[in-house]
Amino acid sequence: MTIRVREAPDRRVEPPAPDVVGRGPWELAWRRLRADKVAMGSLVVIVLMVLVAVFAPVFAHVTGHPPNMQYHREGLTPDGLPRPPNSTFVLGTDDLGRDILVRIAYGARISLGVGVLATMLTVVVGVVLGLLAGFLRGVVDLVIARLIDVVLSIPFLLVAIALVSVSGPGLTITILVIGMFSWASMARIVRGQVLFLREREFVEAARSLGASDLRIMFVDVLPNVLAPVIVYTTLLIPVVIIVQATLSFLGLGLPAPAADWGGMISEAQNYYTVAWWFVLFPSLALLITTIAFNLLGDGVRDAVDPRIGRLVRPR
Amino acid sequence: MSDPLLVADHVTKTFTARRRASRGGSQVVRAVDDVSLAIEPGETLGLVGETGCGKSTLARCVARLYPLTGGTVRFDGHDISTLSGRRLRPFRREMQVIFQDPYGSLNPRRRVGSIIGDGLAIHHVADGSARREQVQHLMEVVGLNPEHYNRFPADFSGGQRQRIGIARALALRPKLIICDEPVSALDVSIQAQVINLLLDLQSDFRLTYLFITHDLSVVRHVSSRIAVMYLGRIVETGTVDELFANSRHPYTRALLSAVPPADPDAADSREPVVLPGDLPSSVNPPSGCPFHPRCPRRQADCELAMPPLDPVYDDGPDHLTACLHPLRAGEDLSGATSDGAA
Amino acid sequence: MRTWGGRRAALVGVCGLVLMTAACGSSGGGGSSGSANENASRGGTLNMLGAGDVDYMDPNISYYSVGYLALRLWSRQLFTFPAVSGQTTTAVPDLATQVPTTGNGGISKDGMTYTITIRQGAMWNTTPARQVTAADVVRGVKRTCNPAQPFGGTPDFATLIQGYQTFCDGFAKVAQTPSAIAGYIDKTPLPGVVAQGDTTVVFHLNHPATYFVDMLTLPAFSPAPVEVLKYLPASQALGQHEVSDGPYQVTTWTPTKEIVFTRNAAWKASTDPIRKAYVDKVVVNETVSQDSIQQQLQTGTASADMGFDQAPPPSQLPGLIAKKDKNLNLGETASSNPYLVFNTVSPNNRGALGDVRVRQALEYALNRSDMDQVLGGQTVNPPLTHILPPDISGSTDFNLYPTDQAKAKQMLAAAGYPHGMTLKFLYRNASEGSSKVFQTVQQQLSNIGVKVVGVPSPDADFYTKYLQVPSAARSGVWDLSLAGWGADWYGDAALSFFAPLFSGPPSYPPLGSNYGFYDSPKTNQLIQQASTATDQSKSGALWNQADHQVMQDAAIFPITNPQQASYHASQVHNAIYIPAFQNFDPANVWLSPGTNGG
Repeated sequence: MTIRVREAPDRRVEPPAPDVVGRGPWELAWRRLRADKVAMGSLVVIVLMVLVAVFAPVFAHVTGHPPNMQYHREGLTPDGLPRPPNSTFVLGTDDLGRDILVRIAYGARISLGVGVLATMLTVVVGVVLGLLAGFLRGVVDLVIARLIDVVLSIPFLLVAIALVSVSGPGLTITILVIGMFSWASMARIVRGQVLFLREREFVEAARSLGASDLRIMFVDVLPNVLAPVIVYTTLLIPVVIIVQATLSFLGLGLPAPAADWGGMISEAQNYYTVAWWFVLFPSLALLITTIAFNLLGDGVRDAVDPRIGRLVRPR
Repeated sequence: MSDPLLVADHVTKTFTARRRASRGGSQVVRAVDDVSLAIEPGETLGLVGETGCGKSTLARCVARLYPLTGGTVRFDGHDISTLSGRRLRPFRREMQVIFQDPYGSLNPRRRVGSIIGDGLAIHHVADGSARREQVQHLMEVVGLNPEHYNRFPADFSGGQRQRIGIARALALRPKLIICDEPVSALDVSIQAQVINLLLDLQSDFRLTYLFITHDLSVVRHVSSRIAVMYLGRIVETGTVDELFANSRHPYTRALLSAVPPADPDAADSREPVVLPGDLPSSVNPPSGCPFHPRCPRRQADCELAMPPLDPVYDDGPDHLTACLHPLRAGEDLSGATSDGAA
Repeated sequence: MRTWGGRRAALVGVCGLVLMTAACGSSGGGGSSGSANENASRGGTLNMLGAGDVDYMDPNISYYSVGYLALRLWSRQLFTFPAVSGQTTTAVPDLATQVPTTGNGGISKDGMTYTITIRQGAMWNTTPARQVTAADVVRGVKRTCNPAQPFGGTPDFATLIQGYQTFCDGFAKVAQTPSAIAGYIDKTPLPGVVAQGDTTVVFHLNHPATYFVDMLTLPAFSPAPVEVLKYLPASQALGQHEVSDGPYQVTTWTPTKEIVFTRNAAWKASTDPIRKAYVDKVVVNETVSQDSIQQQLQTGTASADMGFDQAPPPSQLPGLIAKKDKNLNLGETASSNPYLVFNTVSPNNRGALGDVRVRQALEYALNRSDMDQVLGGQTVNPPLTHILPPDISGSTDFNLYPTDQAKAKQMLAAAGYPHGMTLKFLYRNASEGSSKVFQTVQQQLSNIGVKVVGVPSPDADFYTKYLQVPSAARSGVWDLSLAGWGADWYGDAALSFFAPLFSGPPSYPPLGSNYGFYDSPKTNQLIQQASTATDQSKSGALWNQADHQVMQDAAIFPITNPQQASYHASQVHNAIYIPAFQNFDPANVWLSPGTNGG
C-alpha cells in the first residue's frame, strides 16, 4: 500500500522555530515595558519615592529636624501660622512648626508601606478566593461569588470609616480594612479568567497526567492569571494609597504625631489661604506617587498582555 | 487473542444543558450512548465520525477525564469507571492523552521542559537533574532539540508543539495513548511527519493507540481496526481492510466514499456520496435508527427500531454493523432501493 | 455651660462644636463699628444667614446662644446685657425698673429677698395689648421645670429659689399635656417667686446669692403670658404662636428653613432702654453653608447682613485677622477652652497624678504660650493662667506656674519620679485643636522625661465613653485630657465655674463635669462661702481665693480664654458683640440706606 502521507521520513529535521531565543512571556513583557518611556519614567519616580522613604532618617539628619519636632519660634509665626519655605525649612513648616520636607519623607514610608502591604493582602486573598471559586465551581463558587457581590455593593468608604472609628485608628486596621474591601474586584477578575482557563486543554492535559486540583490551580492555572493580576495590582497600589490618605484626611489615619500624607493634607486644609506650601507639598507627593503608579500600571498592562486592556480599573 | 487492554462496556455520557430560552426545562444531551468497544494490546483502534458525533467525549470518558453517566471502563482488567483522585492516579500513568489543539493543550506560561516533565514530577518519578535528563531524552526521541528545554510553547511551530504534547504523553511510559485528532490542527505536510512519529513510537515503545479522527485517510494509514461513530453510537466496527473493502452501514459507505483512493489508478473510483441534511441534534435524536433521516436506504421500520450492533450477512464476529438494511458486498449506495430484507 | 461638644455648645457653632478655637477669636470685645449712632438710619430688612435653627422658640426653655440670639428680638427679660461696648457682660434693667440693691431696698438685708418692679407700658402684643405683669414672671419661672421639656440649666438655681425643688418634683409627675401643665402652674404656688400686685415680683432665696441678678439675665426667667399655656412648652406649635413683648414678633417660623420677624406694634421704644430696633424686619435664612455665608457677607450683597448660627470658617480666620478686616469681631466668650485636666484618681504610675507635687511639676513643665500659639496665636487665644476668665467677677490675673522645666524635673524627682513616667492623653483625634494641643504637650513633657501616649477618641465617644464615665478615670484609661467650660451667664458667674467643675463629690461625673475627680476640702469650703456671701465684693474675694486654691492644687492646666469670631457685612452698623449670644446684637444694628433691602 502506498501511503500518501509518508513523505518526510526523517522526523528529526523539522526546521527550528523562528529566531526567538528562549524568551518567556515575562521577559518579553519586560522588554516591551522598557521601551515604554512613560512607564519607565514612572518607575524611576517610584524608585525615587521608595528611596526617599527608606532614607527618611537621612532627611531628618541633614536638616537636623526630627519629624515630630515642633519649632515654635523659627517654625511658626506668633499667631501660630506656618512659615513659608526658607533656608532652614526648605518646604516650609506645618501648623505645629514642623519641617514639611522631613515629614513628607517619613510620610512616604506610611503611604508606600500601607500601599504595598494592603495591596499584597488584597492580592493574596483575591487570587486565592478567585481561583477557588473559578476552578472548583459549585457551592464554593456560589458562596464566593455572592460574597464578592456583597462586598462590591458595600459603600466602601462609609463602612471603612465606621470600622476604623469603632476599632480606633492604626496601621494594622487600615491595612485590614482596605484588604477586606479590595479583594473582591481582584477575586472577580481572577474568577472570570479561571472560569475560562479551566476549560482549556492544558488543564485537561494536566489532569490526564494525574495532577491534583490543587496542583492544577496553582501550577497550571495561576501563572496564566498573573498578567491581569499584576496589572490590577499595579493599578491598585495608588488606589490603596489614596484610600489610606483619605482615611487619614478624615482623621482615621495614624494617631498623631505620625506623619502621613493624608493627615498632613487634612491638617493643611484650614491653612490653604495663608500657607500654600503646607497643602501643596504633601498633595504633590501624593499626586506624583499615585500618578506614577497609574502610568506604570498602564504601561505594565500594555506590556504584559494587550488583550486585557478592557480590564476594569480598580475602584 | 490476548486479553483486551481497555474495555468499554455500555458507556453512556449525558450532559445537562440548562438553556434559558426553553423556560426552566433542562435538556439532556446524550453525547455517548451505550458504546461498547475493546482495544487489544499493541493495536491501533481508529475511531472515526463527523465532528460532534461524540468521539472526543468517548475518548475523555475512557480516559476518565469525564465521569461516566453509565456503563463501565476496564483498564488492564481493573474497573476504573468509578475511581477518583488518588486511586485513579496509578492508572493515569498507564494511559495518556495527546490532544487535538497543540496551542490549547500546552500551558503558555510554562517552559517546555516543565511541561514534558510534569508527569514525572506529579508521580515523583524523577526530580532535579534526573528529570531534566529524561525530558531532554524524550525531546530527542520526538525530534525536538533538547537544548530548547527552557523555551516557552510560543517559541515553537504547531508541529513542534504537537511533538511536545507527544513527549509529555510518552514521559510516563504509558501502555495506552489516546490520540484525540492529533494532527487535524496541523498543516498537511506536518501531519505526515507527526503520524510517522506516532507510528515509530508505537513500534519502539510497544504502544496501544486509541486514534480518534474524522480523517479516514489518516485512520486507514494508522489503524488496525476502525470503529465508526454516529450520533453517540458505534454504527460499524471492523478491521481496516474489511471496512474499506466491505462496509455494510450506509453511513460508513458514505464516509468512505469521500476518501481519496489509496491508489489513484484503481478502477473502483466511486463517486463521493453526499448525505442530505445535517447531523441531527443529539438533544433530540431521531427515533429508531439515528441515521434514518439522512439514510438513502431508509425504510419504514428504520424509524421504529434501534438496530443492534451485530454481525450481518456472513460477517465474522469482528465485523459488527448496526443497520436494519445493511449493504451487501459490492452493492452500491446510490442504488438506493435495493432489495433490502436480509 | 460646657463648651467643646457639650450640649449647649453643639448649637453655638464652630467655636463650641469642635476644638477649633482658632475660630473663636477676639480683638478685645468692643464693637467693630464705630459709626456714630446719631446718623443711624432706620428701616430696611436685616438678613441673617445660618445653617441651623434655634434650639427652642420658647424663652423659658431655650439654653443655647443661638436661641438667645433670636429671643433678643421678641422676648424681654427682667435684666439683660446692653449693646454698649465694654459693658456687654454687665447686667442692666430690661423689664425691671432698676437693678435691686440693698441700698435701694430691692435686696433685703439678709440678701435672701429680691423685690423687682416691672416697667409700666411694657406690653404683650395681645389684642388688645396688655401690660407685662409680675404674674407673667411667676408663670415663666414655673414653666422652666415643666414635664414636657424642662430647661437644661435648672441645676443653677434649683436649690437657690425657695420651694423650687419641691415645685418641680411635683411638676415632674404631671401629664405632658397643655391642660395638665396649665392646671399645675395655676394651682401650685412657688413660694420663692411671688407676684405682689400687678407689677412687683418678689424672689425668696434659700441663701444669699450675689450673682442672682446676673442669673436673672437667663431668658429662662422671662415672663410668660397666659396664652402660652395653650400649647406644650417648647413645642413647634407654640413657637409659631408666641406672644411677644419685644420690638419684633415672630411672623413666620419654618423650622430649619426660615424665621421672619416683623415689628411689634405693641412695643414702645420708651419702655425699652436696651433695644433700638432700627430695622423694620429681620429674616433668618437657615439653609446656607458656613463657607457660603462668609462669601456672601464679604461680597456685600443687600441680602446678606450677618451670620446667625455660623462663625467665619476657621480656614479664613487667619486671613481675615491678618488683613485686619474691620467687619470681623473677636469677642469675649468668658470661657476656659480648652483646659488640660489631670485625672487625680488615675492608678497609673503608682497614682502619680494623685500627688499634688507631680501635678505642680507638670504645670511648670507645660508651656502655655506654645499651646496658645498653635491654637491660632494669642490674638484669638489669649493665655489663661487661672480658673476664672476675665469678665467673671472674682477673676484676677495671676500665674502660679511660670514655665520652668528644670524646676519641673526637680519637683518630679522629689516626688519620687526621677525617671519620669508615662501618661495617657485622651484627645479627640478628629479635632484639629485637640490633636495639636496633644502633640504640643507630648513634646513639652518629653523634655522632663515624661512620655505621653495618645488615646485617640472619636468626637461622639469623648464624653459619653470616657470623660463622663467615672470608671474610665478610676481605672486609668486616661491620665490627661482636654475639656472646655463656659459660664451660663456673665458677670457674677464664678459659681457656674466652680460648682460644676471643682466642688468635690457633687461635681463628679456623670452629673458634674469634674472629670479629674478633684476634691479639696479647702476649695469646697471657699465655694460654699462665696456662693452664699451677701456682698458682691466679699464674694468676689472668696471666688478669687478659690481660684488660687484650685490652681495651687493644680487640678487643671488652663490654656486660654478663647475669643469668638463674628463677621458682618459692610452695610451693617453698630454691630455690638454680646457674649451671651456669641454674635452681634440684631436688635441694635442699622443698615446703610440703599443696601438695606433684600
